[in-house]
Amino acid sequence: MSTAQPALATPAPRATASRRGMDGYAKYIFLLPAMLYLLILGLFPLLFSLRLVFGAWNAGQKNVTWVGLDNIQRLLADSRFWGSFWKTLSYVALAAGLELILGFAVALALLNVTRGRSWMRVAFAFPMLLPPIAVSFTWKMLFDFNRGPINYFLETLGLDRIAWLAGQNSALLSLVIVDLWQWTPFILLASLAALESLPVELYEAATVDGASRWNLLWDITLPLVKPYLVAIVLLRAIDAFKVFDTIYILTGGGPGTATELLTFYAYVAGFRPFNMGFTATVSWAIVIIMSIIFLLFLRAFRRLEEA
Amino acid sequence: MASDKTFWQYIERRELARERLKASRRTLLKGAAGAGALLAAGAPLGSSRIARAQDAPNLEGVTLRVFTQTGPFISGPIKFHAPEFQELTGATVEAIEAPNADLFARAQQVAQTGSGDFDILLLANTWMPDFVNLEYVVPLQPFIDADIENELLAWDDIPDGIKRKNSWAGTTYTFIVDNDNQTMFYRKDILDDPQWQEAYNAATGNDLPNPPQTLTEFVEVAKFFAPNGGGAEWSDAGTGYGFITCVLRGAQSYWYSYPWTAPYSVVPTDVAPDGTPGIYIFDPDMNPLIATEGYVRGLTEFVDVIQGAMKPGLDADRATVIEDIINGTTLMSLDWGDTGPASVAERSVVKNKIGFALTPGVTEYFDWQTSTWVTMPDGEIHQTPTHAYNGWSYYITNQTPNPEAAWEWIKWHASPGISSFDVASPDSGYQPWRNSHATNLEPWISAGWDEAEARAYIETILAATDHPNAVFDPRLPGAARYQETLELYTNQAIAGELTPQQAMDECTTAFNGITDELGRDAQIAAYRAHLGMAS
Repeated sequence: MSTAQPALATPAPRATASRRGMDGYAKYIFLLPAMLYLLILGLFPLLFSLRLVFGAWNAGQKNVTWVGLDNIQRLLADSRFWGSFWKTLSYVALAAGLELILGFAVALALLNVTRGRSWMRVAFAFPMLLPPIAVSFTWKMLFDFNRGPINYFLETLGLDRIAWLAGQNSALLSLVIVDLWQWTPFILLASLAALESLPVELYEAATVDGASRWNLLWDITLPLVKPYLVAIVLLRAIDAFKVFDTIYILTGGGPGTATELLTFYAYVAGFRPFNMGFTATVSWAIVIIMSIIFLLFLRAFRRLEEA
Repeated sequence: MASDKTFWQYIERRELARERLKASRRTLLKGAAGAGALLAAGAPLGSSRIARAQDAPNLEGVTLRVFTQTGPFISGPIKFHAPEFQELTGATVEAIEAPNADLFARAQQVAQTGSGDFDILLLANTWMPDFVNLEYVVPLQPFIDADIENELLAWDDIPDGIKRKNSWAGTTYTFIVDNDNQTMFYRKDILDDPQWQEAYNAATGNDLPNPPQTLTEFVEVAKFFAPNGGGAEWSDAGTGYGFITCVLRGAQSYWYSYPWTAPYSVVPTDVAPDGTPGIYIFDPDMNPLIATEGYVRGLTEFVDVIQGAMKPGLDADRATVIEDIINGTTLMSLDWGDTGPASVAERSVVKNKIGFALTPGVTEYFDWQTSTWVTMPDGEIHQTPTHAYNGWSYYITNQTPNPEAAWEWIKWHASPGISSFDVASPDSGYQPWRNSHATNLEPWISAGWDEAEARAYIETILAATDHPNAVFDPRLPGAARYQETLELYTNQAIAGELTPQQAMDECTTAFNGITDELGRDAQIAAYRAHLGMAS
């Protein structure tokens, strides 16, 4: 130790500068592969897709041609796009909203379970561990009008069969049901983790002061978990916004355009017929719409909190 | 296609059939001096396979990558025949697969970037112009010209309809190994039954047509044999329905509207401009014909028969169409040929009970040239057999370092002997396309067909192929965009979101938008090339 320290403490001034210079370059050299990776796989596609927004790249066409704002104009004038937009909002609001209510309610119930909670946690997590494609195929069989078990049970109960995947409203509702089944556990588990982290002392003090169960929930639990719930719902909503596999398998966007949500619209109107300029425009529109909605959502939440 | 037989069971059965054919080939060789005699004897397989064994080119070290649909259908036969080809020539053949819905986008990506991913494509015939315009595929004409006398190519064995589908703008770019046209499948045992003939007569006042010749008859029969028509008890397998078609969005449903809209909207070839057959969807100047009275009438009848004669639920996809015919719950369908081989599969309850016929015609059609309805002379019916997708077709890419080897594979796989096995299989997804498929019935009998039934099935398909009014699926640059658009609006009409007229009016606007975007003059030239007309 004693021999090494003086050497480190008194380096030759010129050597120090040189080493500093080398250190400076070295860090860039080490960063270079990662930077290149990011540039090639991140920035280039991003810029290229932006270029495509102002270009036409169709089947049989070798190069991208400049078309200015044509793609954007076409998108904004397309009633199908706006229809998809409102359907997507309905789907996200229904799915994320119902999942929040259900998931949080079950999490509250589980909080009072003392024995077997860990086991239940695993059991509840099961649906979200399954691949969405497999889940969709299973639900497709369940929803089958003529041979599906759901309609069989409805008939057994004396009720009419429901055209789950063929009705204008029931088809969208069917997608929500699949989403509920698969992703409510996510809200449940995240809410449960948030609930378990709340300080017990507050509840003990409130109980001593005579607070009812309702007071505990409304005045202590909800205000405390609100930030967590907002983050959880936001994550779920972002994910629900991007739904694709379920539509692809269950309805193909139909009947008509009943379940043509934004991501699927981008696929059928742009990608499948290889109209890449339009596909890029729809994709950017989805990103912008999502960003605006979630900024508004966060702002509203902040105001609510301040109030 | 739905079937309880796996591809491997089929292969096992094929092996047995092949052994039998080898035996018959030896017998034939004893008495026949040459290949001509063998062909005349109706055994093209024997001659071609022997010629191959003797003259097989040395392709040692060559690997051919074929891009096609995820198996077992379509890609299955490639995987099956590849080892045999390797044994003969030394070349390795690999199938690179993608799901049907993503095939076009993926192939286009590769074509536009010019990557050397694939040597051969086995894809839709309708996408030909998109590949040709990119110069991604090479003309097959020079290969054909060089091999015109070759037994494997057997050029004279190929119907003119297939040759027309293989060519665009006068040049052959593809080689079809599957004949995608639509025909009628119906329960001949039920339509033959005097009890049902009597019941039908009592209910409708008409004789039960066997089979229906016109769409009007077809609709009436389909509705009678459905629950609301009074004849639903015809099925032993449960509630019977008169008709089944594919209605699920994104599941090829718009193609199922072709047999309904074409008869009313396509003019007979003898009155068409320049005597050009199959002018459909667009006139020769690329003006859409889909909002004409004729097309809309066909679409309206299609929607009507779906509502009145088909099982409820609007969730039938292509597999359901085949399944519901072979499980005995549906009386009739207008479909690609796969129902035929499926009807002899083990779990089919309708073996030898299915009749085959051309799709129904009409007694009056709408002449878009004069905007008037034309009534056919008494006793004549205007039929327009539709070719949807036109057939799975081989292309050779310009990226392949081994175009000759690629041609050797195509020629061999499409040869009379090899193709006769594939088209007889319920699990290949290929339909008969060579004339010799109707004479070489051994593979069909091995696959469980009755000889007369097999002949009737093949002859119906070949009749649709060479029909004077045959309608080919338009081959246009951007065909996938037009198809996607037509599918959307057809589906909106089926779902009741729009009336057929509204749907087709909107579709017309969308079609014109696509044409203008892609360049109207270029599209007109391409469409005329598809029709075989002068620009």
